[in-house]
Amino acid sequence: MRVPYSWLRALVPGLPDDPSEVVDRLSVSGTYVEAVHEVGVAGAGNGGGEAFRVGRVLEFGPHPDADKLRLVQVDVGEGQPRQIVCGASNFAQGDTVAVVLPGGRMPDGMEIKEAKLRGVASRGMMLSERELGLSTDHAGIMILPAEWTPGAPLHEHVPLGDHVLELEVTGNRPDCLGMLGVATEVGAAMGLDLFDMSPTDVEATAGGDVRDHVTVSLEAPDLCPRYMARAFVDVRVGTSPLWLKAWLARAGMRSINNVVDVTNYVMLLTGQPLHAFDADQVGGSRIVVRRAEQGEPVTTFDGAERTLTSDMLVIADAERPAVIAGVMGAADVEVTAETTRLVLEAACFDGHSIQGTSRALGLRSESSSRFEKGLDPYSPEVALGFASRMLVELCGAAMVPGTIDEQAPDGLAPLPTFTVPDALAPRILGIDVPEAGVRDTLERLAFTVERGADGWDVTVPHTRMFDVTRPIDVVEELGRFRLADIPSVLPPIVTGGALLTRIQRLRRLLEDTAAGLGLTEVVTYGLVAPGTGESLGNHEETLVRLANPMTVDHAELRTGLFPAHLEVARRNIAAGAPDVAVFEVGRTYYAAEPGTTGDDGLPRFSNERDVLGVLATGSLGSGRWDLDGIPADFPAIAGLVHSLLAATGVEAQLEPIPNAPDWVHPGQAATVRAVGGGVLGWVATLHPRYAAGLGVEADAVAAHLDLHAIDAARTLVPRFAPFSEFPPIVEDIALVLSDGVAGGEVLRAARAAGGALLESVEVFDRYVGAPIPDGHHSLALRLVFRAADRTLTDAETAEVRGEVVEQLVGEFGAELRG
Amino acid sequence: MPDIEQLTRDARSDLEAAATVAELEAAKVAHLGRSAPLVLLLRDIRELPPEDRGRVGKAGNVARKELEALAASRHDALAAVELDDRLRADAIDVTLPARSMPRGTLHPLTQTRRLLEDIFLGMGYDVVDAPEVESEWYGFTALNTPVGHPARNPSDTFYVAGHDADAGANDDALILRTQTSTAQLRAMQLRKPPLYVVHPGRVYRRDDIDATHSDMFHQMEALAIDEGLTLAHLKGTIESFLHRLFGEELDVRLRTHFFPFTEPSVEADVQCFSCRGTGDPSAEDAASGAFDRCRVCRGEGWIEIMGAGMVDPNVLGVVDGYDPERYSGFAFGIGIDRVAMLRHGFPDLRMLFQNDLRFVRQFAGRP
Ligand SMILES: [Zn+2]
Repeated sequence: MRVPYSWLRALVPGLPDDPSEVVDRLSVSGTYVEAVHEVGVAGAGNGGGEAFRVGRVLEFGPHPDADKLRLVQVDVGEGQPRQIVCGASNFAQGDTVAVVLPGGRMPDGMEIKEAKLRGVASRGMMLSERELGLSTDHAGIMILPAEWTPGAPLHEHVPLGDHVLELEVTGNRPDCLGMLGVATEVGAAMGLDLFDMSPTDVEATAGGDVRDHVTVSLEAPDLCPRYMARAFVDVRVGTSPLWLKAWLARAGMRSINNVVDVTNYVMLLTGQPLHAFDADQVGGSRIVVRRAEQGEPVTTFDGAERTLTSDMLVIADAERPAVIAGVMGAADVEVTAETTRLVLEAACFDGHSIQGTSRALGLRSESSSRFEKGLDPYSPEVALGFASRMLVELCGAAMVPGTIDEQAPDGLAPLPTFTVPDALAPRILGIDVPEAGVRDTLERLAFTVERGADGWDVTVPHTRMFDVTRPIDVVEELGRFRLADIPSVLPPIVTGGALLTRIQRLRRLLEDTAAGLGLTEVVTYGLVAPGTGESLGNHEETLVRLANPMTVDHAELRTGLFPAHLEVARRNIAAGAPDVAVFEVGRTYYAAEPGTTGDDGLPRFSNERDVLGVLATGSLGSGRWDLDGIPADFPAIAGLVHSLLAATGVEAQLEPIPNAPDWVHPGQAATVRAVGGGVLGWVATLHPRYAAGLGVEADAVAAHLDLHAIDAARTLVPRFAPFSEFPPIVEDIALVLSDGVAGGEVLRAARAAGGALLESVEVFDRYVGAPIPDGHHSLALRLVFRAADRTLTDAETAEVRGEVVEQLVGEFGAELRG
Repeated sequence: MPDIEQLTRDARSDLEAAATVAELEAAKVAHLGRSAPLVLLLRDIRELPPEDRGRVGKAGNVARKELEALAASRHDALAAVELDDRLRADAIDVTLPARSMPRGTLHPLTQTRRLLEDIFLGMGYDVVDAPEVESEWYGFTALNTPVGHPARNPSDTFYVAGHDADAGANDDALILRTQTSTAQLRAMQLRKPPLYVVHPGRVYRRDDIDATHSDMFHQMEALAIDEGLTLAHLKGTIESFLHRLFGEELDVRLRTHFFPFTEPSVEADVQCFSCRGTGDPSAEDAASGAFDRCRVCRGEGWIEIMGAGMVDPNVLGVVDGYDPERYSGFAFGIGIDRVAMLRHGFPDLRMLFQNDLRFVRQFAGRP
């Protein structure tokens, strides 16, 4: 909402010249001022703009050297006329005109200087409306009323310079889409009285009755709770006075003609849109408020042909839609220069319906943007009164007696009236508002207030009737003008120690560990391209897809992080950084069966899992400038996975994936399982074809770990376990194994066979080549023996070692080397 | 018979003359070794006449002890010099790049999220989690956002395919939540008052992605419900929080606003931490001539930072045990992405999700 400050000052006479205090107070009380624009002639009326004068054309003649220029002698109140060279020709001797003298600065910042035009001195400039920002009219210079005195400062007659306040009006305050609503706010915020607008209606002076000119049939009262109309005759359509043009222009509207300008002006004043019809063009002199026929066409005022649907409301005459209700009128019933007989509509339309129509047609107007907020059914009569008076005063119209007032069968919604208990405001606001303060604020806001026994009996003004319906809403009315008075107090919190959830703590631990291990954290979009989930082997029914995606590449919720991480790798490789090692703790989403509940017993509408994703390509630890980095291959990332899990206290083992999906390397993919527990995730080299498909030609290894699974596997508070004071005995053995034997299985079997005295088994070498036969490899194991209560003897360790070897020979066909 | 004094003098002279540990060892062998004259004299002492044995033996032993002590001290001195020489030879050009260990960085969103969490943990708020796919009931109805509200519409909100029948007017339709306020209801359903919780999380809106908009962003919601909570407690909490986030000395102001689920509703502004409310450009920006006003607050002096309000009785009334006649409370939400942008001063929201590692790795070291 654009609010010309000069207009606001006319409505709230006590306002200061400078708008800054109004701006601050409005912003705090709920009508945020997004910007203040200085428009027109800078400082006009505030000590500036004196170079802009009323002038009178004394005589004029041709320019000696230019056909299109005139030499004009203009009286600007200086005794001597000024010679001005002018390109316009729409004036005559004796016309009153607007002149700017040398030294004046135009709204666009240009300074006017004495100049020679084609060799003839010009000591000023005659002005058009557009040059002063009053309208878009630049057909010629502006001709002023003859009674204005030459030499008078122009700003005495026309608001030459102004500030325009751009307000952010929240959805609950359609009243502030009208100047009166804004003025009411300003009055309450500044403690100032409003200008008395009376008389707010006009006498009917024409003969007959409104029904002689039009009848109204309200066929869709659910979408139009009230339809009012009046008729006017002897209308003289012409141009509007300059002050009206200026205020319309600054409020962001174009001047059309005096009748349309009046309807727009009253809309800007009251927030209630109006519509004026040329009564002679209303077919059958009949207005029907009805739903459109499905597919019914209409050519709107802007010249576009539009097709309506049956949920749209139209104002039709006997034959066809004349107006898409509350949105835009049709071209052929609009007021033109020939119009002499008017029907003026003031109606209340259902906001949702207008919003839906406006959206469906992609058509917004000043009118629809007000109606869609939901206007009250009492404003039409207010707007009708103001507009009637102005049509009579500015357009020479005579009003026909009678007002059509069609209403929905159940009548108008009553104004809310209720009692606000005295205890409520202090209980919510934390301050006491004295009785006089309550009364002052509410009365300035146009509430009717009466003191009851334990509270205030209030009636809400019609412009606020949908916003203020409960005592708590009135408390807000009191609070919003007193925000600065409210003290700052911290609550007395007595809930005990605050905590993160287990998953959040685990998340922090994993984030810190991953960063400590050299991985850089990334954050990627939760929405991915359609088909991503299926390309990862998910069944369609398990995916969460959007019904209304915004863009084609954000159409379903992700089930894995690594596709996005490949994109991160692609981007960074393209930027010249081939070593990419990243992680993300992010959410994945799967469809949930109806009736699914979470661990907390509350409903869940999807299965959301927090996952740690790791992806690396190139080399790790590239910081060693004089050495090669560690290749980011499967063993390296598997090691990272072990380190990450070790930090959470979870020991993991990797197991081959028998039927690995086609996006992983068939020989480098493993399930990550907690030792003696469930699956935690996976680690795999991505299939080169899959990675290349997402733009990454280098080998990339990824891992996913499910935080919920890790949490289930971890011991949050590990118990102390005693450790031996006695020395270890270390022995190495080398085994020849067939290539099909999984090393992890060998280690597990060795551990199991070694029993309590075998403290650990590690692989320290794997060798392929002579003299080991083809299809076989040598695996070197380091066995560490230790007892809790004594130093082991050679005989004891030899026995355990023998059991281990025997088991490995028996289970895997291993052969002991050396 | 050898002259002990002469032998001692010679030995002392050789030991003192040795310039290296090796020379010293040679002198030690010559004068204190198995075949050194002094050693032989002492070994063969019985071959001397009995009357000389005592005198010579005593003098010889004194001399040997003195020479051994001298050799030891010379050894220490020479060894120390030689070690220093060796270390000097191992000098490293310390200005060359170090062999750095791998180093990762937490994303600025994680850092900001933790900072916000920690401030509220310190104030006594539990951090809770909540789902992102929600029903219209949790997303709108229970938050006092009636059918017909502009946000409750497929033009603004993502709906889940297959669950979008009568979208905008169906409590069972599924949405991607548009705000973390959904966590309010879930927290209330799980616990009885007093309730002090925050919830950081992801939200989705049907916005075109540009420098300041995204279809996905992050918020943190705070909710406090107790007996006797007022707008004064909200004001105190917001001030405390913003002071810890941006600086203790900055002013905070509340402005009336509108949210369906709070009444009264406010927005909070914090005085600009860059220009301290003056709206003037930073010294650097002013010197560059490219900016005539503060870039952080666009010359406003204030930074709009969060929406807040007293929990609407209609929201309290949704959950048993939250009688609006007995309990009151406040809630607010803050954009984590926006706080990260403000704190670190990067110009484009999209940078957070593009993950150029040169971007992420700038923000090491916090918090
Ligand atoms: Zn600033």
